[in-house]
Amino acid sequence: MSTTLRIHPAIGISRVGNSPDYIIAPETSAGMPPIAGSTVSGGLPIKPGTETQTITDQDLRDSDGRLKPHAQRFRIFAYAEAPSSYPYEGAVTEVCIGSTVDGKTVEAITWQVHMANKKANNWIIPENPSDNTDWNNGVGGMAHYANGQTPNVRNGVFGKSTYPVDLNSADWGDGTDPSEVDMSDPVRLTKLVIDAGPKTISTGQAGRVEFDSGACSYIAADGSIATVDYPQLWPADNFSQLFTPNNSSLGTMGGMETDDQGRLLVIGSPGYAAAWQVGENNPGGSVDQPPAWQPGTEGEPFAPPALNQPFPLWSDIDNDGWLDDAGDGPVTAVLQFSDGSSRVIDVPAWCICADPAYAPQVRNVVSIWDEVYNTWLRAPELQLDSNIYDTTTQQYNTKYQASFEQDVWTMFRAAHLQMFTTDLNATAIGAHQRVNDISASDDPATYLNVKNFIRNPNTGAGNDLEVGSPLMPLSLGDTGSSFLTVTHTQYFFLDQWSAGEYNDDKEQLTAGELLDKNVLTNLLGGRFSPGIDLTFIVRDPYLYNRDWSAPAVGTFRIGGKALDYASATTAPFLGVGYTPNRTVENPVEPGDLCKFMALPWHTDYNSCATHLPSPNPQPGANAAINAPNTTLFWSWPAQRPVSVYTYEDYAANGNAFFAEQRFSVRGTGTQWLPDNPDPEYSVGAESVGRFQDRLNIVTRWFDIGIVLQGPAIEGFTGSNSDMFLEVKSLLEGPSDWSQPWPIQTTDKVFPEPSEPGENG
Amino acid sequence: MLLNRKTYGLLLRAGLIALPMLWFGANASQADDSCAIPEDWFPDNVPDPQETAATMDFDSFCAFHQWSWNAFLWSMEEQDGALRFESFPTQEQTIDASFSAKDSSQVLRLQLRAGKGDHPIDSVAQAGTLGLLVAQNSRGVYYSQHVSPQMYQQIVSLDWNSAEGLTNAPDDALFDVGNIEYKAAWAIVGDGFSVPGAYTRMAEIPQLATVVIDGVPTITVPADPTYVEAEVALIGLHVVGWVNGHSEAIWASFSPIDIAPVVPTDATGNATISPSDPVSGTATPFYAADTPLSECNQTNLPIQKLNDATQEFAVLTQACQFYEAGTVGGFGTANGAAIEQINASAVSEIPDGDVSRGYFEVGAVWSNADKPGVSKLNTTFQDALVGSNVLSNPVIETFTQTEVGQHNCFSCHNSLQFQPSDPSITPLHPSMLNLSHFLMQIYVTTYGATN
Repeated sequence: MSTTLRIHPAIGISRVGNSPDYIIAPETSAGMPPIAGSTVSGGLPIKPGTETQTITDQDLRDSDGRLKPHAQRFRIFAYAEAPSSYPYEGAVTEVCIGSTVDGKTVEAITWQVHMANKKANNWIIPENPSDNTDWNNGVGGMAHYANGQTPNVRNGVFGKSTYPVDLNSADWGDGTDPSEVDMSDPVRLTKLVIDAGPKTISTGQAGRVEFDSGACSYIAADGSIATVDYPQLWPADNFSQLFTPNNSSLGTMGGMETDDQGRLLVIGSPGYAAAWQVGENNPGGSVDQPPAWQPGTEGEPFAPPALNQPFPLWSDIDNDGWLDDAGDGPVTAVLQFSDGSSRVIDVPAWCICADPAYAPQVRNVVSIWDEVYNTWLRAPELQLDSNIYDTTTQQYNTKYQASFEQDVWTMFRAAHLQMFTTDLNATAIGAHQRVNDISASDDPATYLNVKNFIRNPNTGAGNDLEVGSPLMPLSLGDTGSSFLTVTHTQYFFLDQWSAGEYNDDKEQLTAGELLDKNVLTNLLGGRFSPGIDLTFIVRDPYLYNRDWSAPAVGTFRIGGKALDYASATTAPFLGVGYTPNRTVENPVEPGDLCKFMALPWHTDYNSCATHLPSPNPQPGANAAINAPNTTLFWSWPAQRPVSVYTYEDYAANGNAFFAEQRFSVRGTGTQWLPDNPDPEYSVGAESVGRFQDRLNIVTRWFDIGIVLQGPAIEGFTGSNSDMFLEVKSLLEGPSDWSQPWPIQTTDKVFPEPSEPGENG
Repeated sequence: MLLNRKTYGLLLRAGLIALPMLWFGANASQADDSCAIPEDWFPDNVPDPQETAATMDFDSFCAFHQWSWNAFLWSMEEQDGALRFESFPTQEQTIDASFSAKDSSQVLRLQLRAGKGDHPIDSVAQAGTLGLLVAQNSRGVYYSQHVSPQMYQQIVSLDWNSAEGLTNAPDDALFDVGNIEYKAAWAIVGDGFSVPGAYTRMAEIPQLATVVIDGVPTITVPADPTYVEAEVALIGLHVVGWVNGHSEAIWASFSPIDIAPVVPTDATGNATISPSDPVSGTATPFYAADTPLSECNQTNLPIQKLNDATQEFAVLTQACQFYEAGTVGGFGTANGAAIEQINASAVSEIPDGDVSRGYFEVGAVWSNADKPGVSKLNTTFQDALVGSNVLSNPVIETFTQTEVGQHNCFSCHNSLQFQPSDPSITPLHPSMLNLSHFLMQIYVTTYGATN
């Protein structure tokens, strides 16, 4: 055996959708120049049954108007020689049906995927700076896991009492002290986890294998396919009276198919959420009466639910009593050869089911790739490339030549694209357009003084984290940081460009490596509170298999736990799993990645349009801050569009740019209600562009429109293809007006004009 | 050695550079006890601020405010039937290098202040809101810009009146001490509407129209406007003067007394009344009595309409001043106290009949970054502001008074690389010249002609 077999992408992303149909997740990088044969920028999903043909707006929904999920396409690549470096410089070929591997012809491929969701038995997502100031000055989610600590725990009294002691809206989402919770309690591991178990699918096998209660099977070490009586975990089995706003008890976590080349397509789950009734919070135990509550209690506007009511959605991030059908888990495969032999691939992958991609071509200024790459360069445990960063001296190599297009322009491009998902004013649009237009041949000093306009990512005294303009990016920051920063490595690349240490070289990665990177560039980084696709755990070297130079490991691979399915009993198969404390080997189980995301994901998506910074800069701490901040900023505009230009308005304006925007989340139920009792929605300007009742996002998320580049919209005409317009929104009804930035908490809220362009 | 802002910060923390507020704190409490306009300025003896800019010792809050009043009073002196500053060169005259003293009798032509035009890239946070200030007579507010003849001469002689000249200007170019730049705001008066205490004159004003821009009806000055004559009142005047040791200039602003009610705030800058509380029971030309705080300084953009025939707007602006004396803490601070004192002295010292008598200093701000070895290039001065460091004039920067990143002069007027809003225009290298939007607008206007 001389070849090494690896599955790519190393980390794949399927996305939820309520249609049984699907489109293939993008394999190009958001916003980047079109690949050969294409007229659209990168990031667009792909039509099923094609190699690279990108979708149009007609492919987004099925004939019943349901939103199609994304299917992550996994491929197997054969590395001719043992790969031990990054990038790999040898020959790489994709392995499909009919391919020859080490002289053997591939006759069939069997894939195995194991999806699970552990969100309900996990820690909360803190939004404040950590007390562990010795760890990155308390900034970032990892700081909350420093020094052996963890945040509070979700569903902390589950299995102990019916009502959390602090079941009131003011404290909802704060979690329970971890010292009071045994997260490995079998009751919690059984009832708070959704586990579809291992599923396999073989090429030639017709149809789809659902990640549902159907039979489980797995690829044994010898390459054979074995069935197993696996202890699957489903909400409907654990709770008799689920509240199912989507008319679903979360009985599937998506599914998988293979294509005619033998590749795997992991299809996202329906994207639903459900809650159990309060009376079922202490299964087998006593049932408490609701705590005393007086209407009008300050800070507690809502009465605790009755025993026969579901838990409320009082939090944007951490809602006890709720489950959703997102998930994640390992992907592996075995090749079956024409001679009857088989070979298990050497390097498995991991798949994550995430939120929909509402603006797939709009690039994040900081992506998960930027985060992962930064971690892999800087962590002493990983040391990806000492030619860029020396982990011993903790210094970047100032002689390193950054790639203008890949390392620098990516940020400029992202900055420009923000105009299509935020309501920027004309000045900002123009400035960002200029930055987007910079080419490798331009003199950096002429166009952008990096030090004066880009926020330095270093934390500590005198940092830029609380300083807003003119520093960019002007978006909300990471946990404990007021404003967003690029990563240290991105900042270094900008420095190199500024110093003239850059080149115009093109991407040098192999096909599989490029797929790894492109997928991650399409995910949100930077602001992990918690984020959309993945969160701060991507900064933990211990998340990964750190022995990456071993041919059978490779780069950017999740450090998955070896799962002995043959040992499965009726007891829960999965444990507490991965903890991001960087101190011990903590192999990752299915469900360990998505568990750090919001529960349910919908409420966080709904909320994270615009907010005040947290911490909100106040005078005194920094000489540059001389008055209290009342200005609102965006959370995740590329991944969670706030304001969009609609194709409908564009067409109505004679197929020409129409300058007024609409909220992406709009229509019935989104208008701000001055008398909304929820403190979260008490400030009008900070409450628009989202559903006022969180339950509505659970039932309407699939009606939100998608932002696509003009040429990807059927019927689009116009000379400017650099136009990204929202299509296929099913949200109707009255909305609030989308105000061009800057926006202050004191700004009045106005209804959206009834007709485009109508004033008043 | 040139130090950037971060280096300055490091030195500051290391104690190698004195903290500006500490430096002034000692002087201010002593020198500002009786900050006043000197009695001997009246009558007819206001010194030439172009000279005092070079000779005064700027060593206390009072000194800065005293010079600000000096420049204001001198600029407001009547000459040949107009105020001195009104006869000073306009932008067009500067571009054409066509100014001469004989132009002093020109008819003032005004433009509508429809949000700010070009800002440096920091305007991503600070850009104007596109709001239009509408007085209580339903008419829009207009503005004019001028520079002093001395400043004009410097600009023209060094070819800074063209994009090419500005591009070629050295990084260390500075405005001469004594230069003064103005921005004036004018409200249409008459028909029973007046601005008490304000100077009035006749002017040509462009008729506004609702123009469809990118599909969106937008109230603005059309490309080829019709001008009509109207009586206007001077409701705000920025006086920006370059003085000894302060190449960033003193940025002072004046308005008629009581032009807008002041929002009560606490020592941290937060309002002490609730949004539903009225700011004042007294009406002003830009505020209706008993209007609640929540209605103050709102652009009302989506509901604003213009009657093209009457030139009246549908929605009036309720202008309130958020920070008394342009300072968090207001008159309770050393800077605020100096302003309060010198304003009081203006009331007592300026003779009846003097057009300046009805005005007060809203505030003035400058920087104390002028230390040996400390570069003022590439900075917004935000960590070195002195004086009214949250200065906005309620009828000129109405909508951005609490907009962090736009709530003081230097937020927009700074020495960073200038990033025009037109992406086809190359940014202008960092320079102290970039402080002047008068010049930056010239850069944008003349860019196509010279590059």
